[in-house]
Amino acid sequence: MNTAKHEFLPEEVMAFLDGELSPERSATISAHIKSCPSCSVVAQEIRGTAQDLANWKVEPAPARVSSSAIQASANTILPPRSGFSAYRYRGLRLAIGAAAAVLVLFAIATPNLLRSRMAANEASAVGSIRTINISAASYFSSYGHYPPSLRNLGPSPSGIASENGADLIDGALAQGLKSGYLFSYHADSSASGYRVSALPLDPSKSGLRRFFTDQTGLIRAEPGGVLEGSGVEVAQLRESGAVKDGSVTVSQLAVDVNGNLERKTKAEREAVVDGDKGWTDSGPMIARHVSLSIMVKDFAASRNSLDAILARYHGYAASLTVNSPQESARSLQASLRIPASQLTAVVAELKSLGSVESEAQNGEEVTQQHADLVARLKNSAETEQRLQGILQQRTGKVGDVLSVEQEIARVRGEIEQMEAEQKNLEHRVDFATIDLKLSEEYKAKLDSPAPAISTLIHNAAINGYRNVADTMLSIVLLFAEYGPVLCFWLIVFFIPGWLVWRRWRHATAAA
Amino acid sequence: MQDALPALVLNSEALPRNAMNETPPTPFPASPTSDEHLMLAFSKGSAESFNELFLRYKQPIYGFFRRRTDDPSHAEELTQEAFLVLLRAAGRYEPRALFRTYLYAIAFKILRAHRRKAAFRARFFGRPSTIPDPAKQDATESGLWVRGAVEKLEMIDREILLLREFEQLSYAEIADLLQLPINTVRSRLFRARTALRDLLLPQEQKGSQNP
Repeated sequence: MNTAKHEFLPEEVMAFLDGELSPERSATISAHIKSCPSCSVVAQEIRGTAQDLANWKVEPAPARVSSSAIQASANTILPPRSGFSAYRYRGLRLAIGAAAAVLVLFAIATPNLLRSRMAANEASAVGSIRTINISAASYFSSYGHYPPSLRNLGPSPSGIASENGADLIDGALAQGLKSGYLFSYHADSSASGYRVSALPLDPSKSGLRRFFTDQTGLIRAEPGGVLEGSGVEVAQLRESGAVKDGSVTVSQLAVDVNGNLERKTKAEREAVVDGDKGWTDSGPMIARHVSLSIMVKDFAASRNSLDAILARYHGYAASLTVNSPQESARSLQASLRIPASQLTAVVAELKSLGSVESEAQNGEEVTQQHADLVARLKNSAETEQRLQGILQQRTGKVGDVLSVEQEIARVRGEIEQMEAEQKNLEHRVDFATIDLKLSEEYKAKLDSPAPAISTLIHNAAINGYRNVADTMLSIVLLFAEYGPVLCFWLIVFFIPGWLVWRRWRHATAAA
Repeated sequence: MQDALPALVLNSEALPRNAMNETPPTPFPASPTSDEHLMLAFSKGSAESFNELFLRYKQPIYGFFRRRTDDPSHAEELTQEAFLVLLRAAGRYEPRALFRTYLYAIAFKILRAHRRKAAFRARFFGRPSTIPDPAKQDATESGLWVRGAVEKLEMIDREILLLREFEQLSYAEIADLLQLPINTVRSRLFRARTALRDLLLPQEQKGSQNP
């Protein structure tokens, strides 16, 4: 049909036949159809198609489809719903269900995730402190003093290790910030010692404990106590008294980060040794070690007796741990250092505190080791004397004089190192070690009433409230931290997914 | 119930709309016996109103599904499901549109859900082995011929044509149901009718028209 000749399009003729036009338009087009052969043909064709379609008949609906059957099934099989229907808000309900499931998963997983991350951060902080200790010791051996700041341990700007940048730790740690922990380094005014603290940036997120250390290499945690076995080689126990603080152990195990130097002053050593040697130059040198496990009836009296024994025989406790749990037996573990000559008497007195459950003794002979050390020390001393004599003559060139001075310095260093080793060896011989374990024979007390039920409920309620608060806080923190990222990925994946889903639905509907 | 003539014949010129179609006559909405009043009465607990509505729309809804499914048993199940949904949703009914538009919207959603499930089953479990009973198929030869021609139409065009011819929906109602612009509905309907006319022409007549 050539529509250019007509006022009306064929579609309008069809709309007129379908009753979709306004009365005025219908009257106009009706008059036009009567006068226009082409439009009349279009109308006839459309009417003819409709007549053909009328041949497509459908059989009557089965009698099984009845009103009563439908109402009965609605009342018996599935009750009518007052809220959401099966077909309305289906997507909304799915979204709410998915969101609820995600929330539940987050609520369950978030505290564990946060705890895991905090534990990882704490482990990393301890590792960083160990690194600092080892690096500081290395720095000390290279430059004769501890670094004035952490930056001195870090990478050198010039790329060559120097006093200002020893290149012993990574750049992040040298800046004092790593794995959620802030590291503070303070050197003594004379650079003969240092203190390091590691504090969590956010105590509720990045870590719970704070860590401290100093030039002894000992790492302490608050709250928690001492972290033993800090990874560096434990050379020896340093002498000092141990402190008991309730059930919390404050051990004073000292870790020598240098591995071969015992930094005890001579005055301290002499005060402890008290000139009472347990070995002679002619006899064998034996480093003795005793392990004792004793069960005592009166724990407090035994504790006092132990202190008295140590004072009487000029011994000391290198480490001491007392556990005092409620409603249970107390125990004490200590590493005692006793003058070797008094070892037999001390062991006998310790046995008298209670019944001995186990005992073990051994001795390590270090005579040959000591003799070698003395010989090497003597040779080095003679070498030093000869070098001093050469230096006093001053007959050579300036370069030769400087070479002699350098050699004297080297020999002096060796002598001091060997002297330290000798003293250490002699100390091990002078002072025998006793590993003591005291256990109390526990007797239940009738006058210790069990906590009241109301107290238990009160404590449980407070713990429950804290758990809920912690969980809610963890969820809020998680959403605050990962919410934008989740929204971003949701947008990235949801919109294309929704389009694909819609297209698929249309495709399947057409099938 | 006698299957009705297409809407086109009814709506053209002199004939009143829906007068002989399988779609029941829709009284003036203000009438107390209108579909909308019956539905409101049913929503307030009148079982008789539901029975009346059911009697009016049982055959049209069955025809709606029967013309769009191969198996009569599927048409029967879907008809029951449509009335079941209508029954459950009665409490939320609001007469914002004609009742029959509302009912056909429900039927159309159920049909789409049925097609999705059928497509899913066909994809993962293969085509159903059950063959519809030939005795229950379109009885007349001309009916089969028309059905075959309609099935050759494009899917959207076919749906628009059926909704217009047999369900008596207006262009606006079809556009709302299929979420299409109303002008698209009109142009596609014209295209469908033209294509159907060509498909229904006898072969010999086609030959004489195209020497």
